[in-house]
Amino acid sequence: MDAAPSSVPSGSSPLRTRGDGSRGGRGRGPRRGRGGSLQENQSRGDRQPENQHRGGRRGGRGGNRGAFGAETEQNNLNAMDRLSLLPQIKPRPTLEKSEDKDGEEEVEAEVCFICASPVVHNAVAPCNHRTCHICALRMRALYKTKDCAHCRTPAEFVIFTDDATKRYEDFTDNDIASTDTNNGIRYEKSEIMEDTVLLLRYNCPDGDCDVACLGWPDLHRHVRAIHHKRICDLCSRHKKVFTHEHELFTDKELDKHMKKGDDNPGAVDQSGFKGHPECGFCRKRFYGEDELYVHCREAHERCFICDRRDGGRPQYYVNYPALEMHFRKDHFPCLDARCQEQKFVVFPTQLDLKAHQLSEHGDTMSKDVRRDARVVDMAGFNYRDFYVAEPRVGGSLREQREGRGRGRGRDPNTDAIPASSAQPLRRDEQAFQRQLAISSAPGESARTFGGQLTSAPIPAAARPPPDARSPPSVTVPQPTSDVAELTPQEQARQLRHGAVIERAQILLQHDQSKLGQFRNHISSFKNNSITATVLINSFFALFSDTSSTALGTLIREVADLYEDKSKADALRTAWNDWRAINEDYPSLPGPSVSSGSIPLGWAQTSSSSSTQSGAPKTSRVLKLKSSTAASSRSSVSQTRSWGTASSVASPLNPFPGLPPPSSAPPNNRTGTGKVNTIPWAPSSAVSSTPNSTPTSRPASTGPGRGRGTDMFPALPPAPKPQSTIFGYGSGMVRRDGLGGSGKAPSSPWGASGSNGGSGAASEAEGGAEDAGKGKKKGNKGKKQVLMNWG
Amino acid sequence: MASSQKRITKELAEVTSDPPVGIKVSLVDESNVHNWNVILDGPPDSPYAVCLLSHTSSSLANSKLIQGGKFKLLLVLPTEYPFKPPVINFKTRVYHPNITFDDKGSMCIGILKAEAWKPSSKILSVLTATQQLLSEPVPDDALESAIAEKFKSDRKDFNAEAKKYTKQYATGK
Repeated sequence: MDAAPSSVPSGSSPLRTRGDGSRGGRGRGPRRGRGGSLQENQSRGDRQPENQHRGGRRGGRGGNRGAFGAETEQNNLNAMDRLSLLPQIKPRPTLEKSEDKDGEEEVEAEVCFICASPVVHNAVAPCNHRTCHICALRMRALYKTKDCAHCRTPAEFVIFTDDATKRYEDFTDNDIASTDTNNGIRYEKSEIMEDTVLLLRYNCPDGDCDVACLGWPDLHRHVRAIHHKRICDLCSRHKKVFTHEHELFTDKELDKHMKKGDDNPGAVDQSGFKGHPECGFCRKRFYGEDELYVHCREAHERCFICDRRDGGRPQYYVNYPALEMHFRKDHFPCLDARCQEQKFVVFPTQLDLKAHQLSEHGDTMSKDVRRDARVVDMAGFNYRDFYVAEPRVGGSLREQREGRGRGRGRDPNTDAIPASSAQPLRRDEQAFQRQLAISSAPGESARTFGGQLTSAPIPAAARPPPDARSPPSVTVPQPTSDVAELTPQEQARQLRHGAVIERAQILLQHDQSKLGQFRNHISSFKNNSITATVLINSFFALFSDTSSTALGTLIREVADLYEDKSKADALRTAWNDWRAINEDYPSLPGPSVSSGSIPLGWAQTSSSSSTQSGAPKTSRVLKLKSSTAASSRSSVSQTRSWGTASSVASPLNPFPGLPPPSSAPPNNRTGTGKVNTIPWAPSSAVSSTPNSTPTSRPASTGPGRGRGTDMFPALPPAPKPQSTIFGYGSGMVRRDGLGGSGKAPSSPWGASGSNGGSGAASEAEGGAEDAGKGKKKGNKGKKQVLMNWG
Repeated sequence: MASSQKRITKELAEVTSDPPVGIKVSLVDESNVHNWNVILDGPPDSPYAVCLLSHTSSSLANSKLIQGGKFKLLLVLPTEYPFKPPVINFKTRVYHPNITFDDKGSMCIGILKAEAWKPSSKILSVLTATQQLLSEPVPDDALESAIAEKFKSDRKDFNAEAKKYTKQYATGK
């Protein structure tokens, strides 16, 4: 193999040949022998593909100039322990650079422009831009965009081909072996399709594991049970990477991942990910800042006045009552009952408030009060302040207000109003305020409302969240058995035995003959006369009326009864298998499944040797993993010198996950932490979701939501009652409002989403109505109308 | 991240081996390719370049004394790069319509907008576009409307202001 440096790229060494063929072989036909030694080569070591790629590049470009070096290095690599690799790799950056310079076009032909990895298959778009098939698939399947990666031209279809030069329009229907309408991919060969489909399966991220799971829950279960690790639930839902690119964490690592990310100065595999941010109110984590922002916007409140004044960092309040407290403390809310219900009727200065009160509520004030209200209290009126203070933060305002005395300051009716000179200005302000209030109000309510609508139904449809595992532990009498274990063995066993029988009896509705069968089955399993699988099947027949959750509980209890560990495990495993196959996610691999189910639909076409497949498939999976996983690692160490043992120590790729086709709501991620707290095999519990989802839900969002609803009551079509009240003793009413407004007048009006809209409407209406009744005194009402229209 | 690191590494190699005029790149943390420190020279034809000596006293016409302002940028490449655009912030204050005049120094530039971003766009082209933006502000797409207004209405004054701030902040320190 070392002798390869012949001037002809296709030298004697099979390895060489392949390497060159795949790199330099522009238009030479099939660019690599699939399934041949290349494959072995790649699966042999994680770094292998990269070496090959480098070697190949050199060979292809300059003949043997670099080939020899590459060869020897490659061999060294093979021979060496991987740990000792890193020093070896250090000098690479220079090599890499010089090569890039003198062989630019060559490089582009063999390395994907987008991901800088060797091209395995080409993807050609109608614009005749090329990427590797992995990038194209990433764009289409994960990022859900059909735009060309180069020019953003959308294309219904791209062609996956091994021909590096053939133009898109030169492909005829005859050239296409199969088509995936879902992702818009046409395959030149079915092999390419197989390679592609492979990427979309729920492959276990463990580099040495070739298991493809049936879905996210299954995969979570698998990594938990087999590798004793976990996949970040948030990442699995949001991160746009293929399943096998997700990262596996131990519990501790996951904790760190959540809180700090991989921000670890000096480590090779860090990506700048700083952890999943947490909502300070809810203690829930979100995938990223954007998701957190959306959450805060929907679930919490912001002060529009502070926002306008300070800009910059948004300050949130946990809910409207909290925001209201802030309004009262730092701003000038209108305490009129109507405005209280409408919410967000609050002003940055007292003058604004006065103006609002005169114009909005003037018609309900008594003459005296109104006159008083127009008196400018010069003591507290700092003309400067009102221009300057606005952009300032609370301080001056508060001083101003406090100087006036709290009680009086808050009372709209006894307080003075700016003189007429100031009034016009105030009205502008006020109109603006109203607009603000109105525009923010409906937004707020609509959002809350909408949030409620959209988030609630999701859990039902969505896949079982991981926290689904906990609830069963609450409802199930299993704890008794656990407790019992603490007592002397015999006793404990008896206790458990009793519990099992009792459970079985209940489930069988005290049918003695069935109970007999049940005992028989169990004892024959104990005597090795039937296998665990058979036992499960017979249970299933026997307990046909029982929900699988209950049956699962029973089976777990039965398993606990066996002293023989292997028996118990066999039984659990069998049960898990049964569930996995029969229940959780029926879709993917079965030949019976038809298309439509996301990218995986066509798994069936390709995989006659479907999921659990045999050897050839297996090696392919591993290969694909190494091709993505390994490449990243090697790339890092290749051009740079930051080799540390860490990358090797954790052979797992530095990258995370796939957007689950069946992705669940972002809300129930609270449960992630729980996954490992469950004492039983993680697998069995997963399926119990449907009932557990609701439980987790209300806890997280319920309370806030509930309030949210009555926080934004709709306005009544005609606000008559209110206005009459004011007509009588407005001063008193106001004062009441002062004291007890914390409990915003419970709204007799039905809730509705269109808060502001109706608010505005009702005002206008109110004005009109008043006019009709001849009740309108003074010109305040007119002003108000004008303002509304203006 | 798999593909991102590889691509970033490649681009970093390209930029460091063949650095474009007026752009210097280094890593914030040697082990993390996702965060780049960039030092951008203010284009000579813009108010972001300063002549440290006044034109009249050019007895010491040393080229070192006539130079672009040194603007520090932080370029952060998301893990999804190149499928998601990089994020650039000016660490040096810039008086420019399209760059916020605060400690964040957020920049508004077409090439980095999520809806305009192409995975094929390279970091280098982003940096050159940034340079270009310094030469040619886009006042209609402004982040600092006051500065944009000044740019449109009183170019002379704008240039003077920009120069002043460049001298004050963009010292490369």
